[in-house]
Amino acid sequence: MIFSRHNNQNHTDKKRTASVVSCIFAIGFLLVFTQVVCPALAGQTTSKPNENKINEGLTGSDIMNQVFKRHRLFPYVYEEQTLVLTDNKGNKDVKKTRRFSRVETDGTLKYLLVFDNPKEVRGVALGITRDPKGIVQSRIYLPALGDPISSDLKKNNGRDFMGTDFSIEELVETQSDVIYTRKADHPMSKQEKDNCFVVEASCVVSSPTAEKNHPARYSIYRHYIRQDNFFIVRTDFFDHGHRLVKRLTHHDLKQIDKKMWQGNMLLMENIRDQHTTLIKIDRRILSQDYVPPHLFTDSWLQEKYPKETRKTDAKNASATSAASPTASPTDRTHNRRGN
Amino acid sequence: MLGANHRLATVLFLAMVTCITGWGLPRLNVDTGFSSLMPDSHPDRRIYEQIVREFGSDNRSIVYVKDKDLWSKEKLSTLEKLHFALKELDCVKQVDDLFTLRSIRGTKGEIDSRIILKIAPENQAAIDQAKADALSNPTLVDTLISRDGTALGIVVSFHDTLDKKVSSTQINQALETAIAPFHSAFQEIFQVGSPRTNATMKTLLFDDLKLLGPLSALALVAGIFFFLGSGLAAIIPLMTSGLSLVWTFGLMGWTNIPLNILTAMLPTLVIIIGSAEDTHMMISYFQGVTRTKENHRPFATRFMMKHMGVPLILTVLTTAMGFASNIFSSIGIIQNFAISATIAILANGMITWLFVPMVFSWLGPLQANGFSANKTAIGLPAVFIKLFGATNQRFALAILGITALLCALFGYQCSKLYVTNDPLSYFKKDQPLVADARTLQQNLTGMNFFYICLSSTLDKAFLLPENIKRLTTIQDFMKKQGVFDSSLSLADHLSLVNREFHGGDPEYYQVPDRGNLVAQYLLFFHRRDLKNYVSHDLSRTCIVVRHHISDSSLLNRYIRELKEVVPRIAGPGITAHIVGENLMINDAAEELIRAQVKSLIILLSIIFIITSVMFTSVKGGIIALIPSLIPIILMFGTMGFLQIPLNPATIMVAVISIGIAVDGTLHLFSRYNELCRRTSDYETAVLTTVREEATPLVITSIALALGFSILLFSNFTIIAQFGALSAATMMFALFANLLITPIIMSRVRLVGLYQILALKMHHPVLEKSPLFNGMTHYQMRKAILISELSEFEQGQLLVKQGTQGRSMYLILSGTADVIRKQRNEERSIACLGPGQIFGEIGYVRQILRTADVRAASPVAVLRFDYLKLEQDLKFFPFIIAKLNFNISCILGERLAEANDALDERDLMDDKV
Repeated sequence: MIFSRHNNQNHTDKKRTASVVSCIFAIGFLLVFTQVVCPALAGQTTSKPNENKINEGLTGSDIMNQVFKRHRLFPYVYEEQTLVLTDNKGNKDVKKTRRFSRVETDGTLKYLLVFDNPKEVRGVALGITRDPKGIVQSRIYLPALGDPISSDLKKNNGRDFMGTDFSIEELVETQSDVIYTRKADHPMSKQEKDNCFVVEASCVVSSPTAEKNHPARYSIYRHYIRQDNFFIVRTDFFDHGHRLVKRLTHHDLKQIDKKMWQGNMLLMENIRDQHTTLIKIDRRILSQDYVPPHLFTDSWLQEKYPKETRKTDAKNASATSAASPTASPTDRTHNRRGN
Repeated sequence: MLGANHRLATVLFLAMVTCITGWGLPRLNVDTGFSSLMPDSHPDRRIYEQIVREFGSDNRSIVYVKDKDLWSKEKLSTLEKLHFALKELDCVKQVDDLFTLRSIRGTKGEIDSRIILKIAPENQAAIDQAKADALSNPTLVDTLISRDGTALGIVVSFHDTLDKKVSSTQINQALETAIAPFHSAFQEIFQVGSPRTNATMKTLLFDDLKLLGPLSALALVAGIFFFLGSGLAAIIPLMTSGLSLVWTFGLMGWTNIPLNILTAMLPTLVIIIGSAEDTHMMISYFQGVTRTKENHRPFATRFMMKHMGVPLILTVLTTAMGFASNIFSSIGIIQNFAISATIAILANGMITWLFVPMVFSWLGPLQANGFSANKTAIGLPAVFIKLFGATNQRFALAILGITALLCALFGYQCSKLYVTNDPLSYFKKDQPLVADARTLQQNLTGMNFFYICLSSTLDKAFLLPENIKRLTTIQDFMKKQGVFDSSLSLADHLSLVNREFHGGDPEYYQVPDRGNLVAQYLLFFHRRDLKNYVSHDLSRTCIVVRHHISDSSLLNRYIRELKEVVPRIAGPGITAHIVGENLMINDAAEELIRAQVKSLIILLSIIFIITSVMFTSVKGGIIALIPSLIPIILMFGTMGFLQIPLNPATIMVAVISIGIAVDGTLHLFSRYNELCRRTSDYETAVLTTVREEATPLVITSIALALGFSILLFSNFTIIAQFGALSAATMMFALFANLLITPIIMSRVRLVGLYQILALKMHHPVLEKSPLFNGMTHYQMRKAILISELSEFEQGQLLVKQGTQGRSMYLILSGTADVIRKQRNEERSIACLGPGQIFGEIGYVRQILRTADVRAASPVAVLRFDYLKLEQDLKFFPFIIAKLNFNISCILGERLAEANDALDERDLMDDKV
């Protein structure tokens, strides 16, 4: 009985040893699989630790420099956009616009946004010029009123742009006195576990008196930047009480060239008002032909969209609810040549 | 006698019900919101809810800041901190002030749109610029900034409070905590709005509950102890009231009826009204004590229940009906009060009916202090009796004349009555909330909002200038009305932009003439800026009006005017609605009056029906109404004279007070009729009635008046007014009952229903009497109660030959001789015994009595007067017909007997 019991004991020990070995093997396999095979399958390389080390050494300014370097504004951009404004009750307001931008050789930026639809606002335009010194001038043109009117962007700082949740400085970079501070990296989203850089941009208050009279609307902008391509995928705007006011996210990212990326959809969420503005780029053409210099003049606007009279007004009023955008022959040409 | 006969069962029953109802006490909730002030069925309610959903709630608070140095670096920096302190609050959704609102300024060829203050400016130039920006914006001046720029309003909107996750008290607390550190920084700073109004109301409500209940109880105990001189008598009403309140509040908890400004009065009302019943019963007990020398408690308790049992039930019912008449009110707060007060009165009645006999049969006092054995009043009631008795005996007609004159005078004063349902008017004028609201209104605008909404079925209808200009026309009309503080609409915003796009030229402060320009200007607005004024599809638009009118009738008059004019201005194809929570609450004020008039009519009808049935006479019903109508007229006249408005509390005074005061009238009439059964001397019967009933009447009236007066200590004006008016009405009712009712009573005689029911019909003489042959017991009782009981000693003359009289007599006991005098000879023609009648010929026909009727032994008779019978039984033709038939039978018998006698005499003569 004793012998047989001993044999049985041996048998049990062997079994136990075998299972422990199998477990260790399985754990080892899983470790190897998760650390080596999976990243390889996902397109990552084993050199990632080195890249991480490089990234760790970057300051906020370094990162933002990379951002500006890689994704600087293309010199000649023509875009056809759809603006979808959604209020807190879900009511939607759709507008069609065209955006022209051109960077001259001396660094002057010219920007023009023209409304095409609804019919009543067709021809309303906002023109912005930023000279190489960073001085910004803007002009507003209302066809129903006639002469374009200047608007001081500094005074208007933070103003919502044409009923959207974007302010002009969010569309055209105008802020220069900014300090960038890098914060701890953050996962891109709940689904994507890859981290992105987090850089906080805080405004410098030591600017001239004129600017002090019209200080910035936000105290901090927090940018979330993809580590693989240095593209800002999200920006949170905080007010002077350090509360989140707005959030801008970029979607439908497209690689323009080797390093340059652009989003085809921009969503600005106004957290406080529960209002959103979606800018959808229906068409983008990066060509000098589409943004000739004369487009950025008052005379072009006045010629293209002459001052409306009561007669034209009445004509338009008779069909206020019509929704289809009207396009000039030039526009049609543009459409044919889409990207 | 249930309570006295089954003490243990009574105790167990009361304990069980108290436990079950008391279980509901923790479920009792407090509601100081305004929604219960407007009717659920209000036709505008649904439209208002739609408009609020679309254009935002009018539930906002305004933080008011005033300082002569407001436009300085330090003050603006502090103001910025305040702005962020308010924004930090979890309950706050939006803060609209100089740090969020925009200014559009235009000079030649340049337009600037900017937030007035992004952050606190660092230098004087920026401060001056911001001040100029704010003061140049007509949409801000007078609404958010005073004309001199020293006062600012910060409008705070809250997250949807409809879900009730955050209470008004919490919001108010949060706001107060947020502004507390800034009190020293500005000359004046406070916040007003519905959260503060609600929270203040709740605080004061609990203060009222803490103060008024105990004070009423104290006054009651003191009063009863003073009048009745018994400690037990003073404690009993407290015990019955306490139990009644547990039952009532417990049932309110179970049935989800909240504690509100009106239901918070219940402890006082139950103590006051409940004590009146207790006092009646206890006085009756003491009267019972004076009538016996031994076995005091059981006898006095039986005496009490015999005399007070049925009146107690009737008075509880009439009082409950006084409160219940408001149950069908469409206004939640009144309906809730009506239900809970009715429950309280019925519960108190039942508890009194069971508890008082139980306690008195067990522990009742054996001495009746303050009562004489002959039931006459002593002390203060005696003074009243002496005063009123002497007056109405000597100057009956003068009193009636003066009363009629007074009624006419006070009736005229009633025309000065006005109605208000403004929640702010609930508070006393020295309340900080009221003072703050007044300051806000004086420096900026009133805190009441309403909307004028125009809607069209056409898409983008309000892109057309002609439609937008209609808004301006309406606003111009309101300016002409001159009663509203401010109005703001899409037209104002467009006019401002138009002016600024034309270099700030004031001539251009008008709606643009072209639709496209309107559309293009609208691009300069964020949806947030216009969401309170125009729908997203531009098919509906809204004028936001602010005012400080608290007189509902005045507001309603101007709103009616607007309701007539606005649709005309809006024109065809555009629907106009004028709505607002404040308007519905004020509109409900008129509904309140209609409902109360209805309730009063219902109550008076019920009193009329009950008294008509009680006295089995329509005349009885009408007469019983007179002492009820006089206090109503005097009360409303006093209100008109003293300019006390009709409001949710004062409007109920008439119904409630009359419901209580009619008890005294009923007691007086029933006692009077009881006495009239024993005497033909109505004057004495009246005096005896007043003497006997004055004690409970005076004691309860004074106790009730004192109890109601305690409400003067309430923190709410409307409750204090209710208390004062109710007290005055109780005294008016006492005056009517002791001065007018006796004068009326001495001129009429009514038969009480419960006298009919109480009349014992065991007398075989009556049942076998030929007068009542073929009649039911009820018919016999009714006929008997119209008669008078008279007693005569042997040898007394009941009827004298040759005199005229229309009475007929029925002998109850004893015998009477019929003696005919002829040529100085007296001849006995008959000897009548019990059940027989005499005087029937005089009853049927007005002729001289044909014989004397003299008592052969002590005789008790019932006297039936022809005129009285005809008058009082006018509405009982079957009884009259039966009586007449029986009388004709008796007369026929008499005729036959006379014929037989004549035949016999002729035969004798023939024989002779």
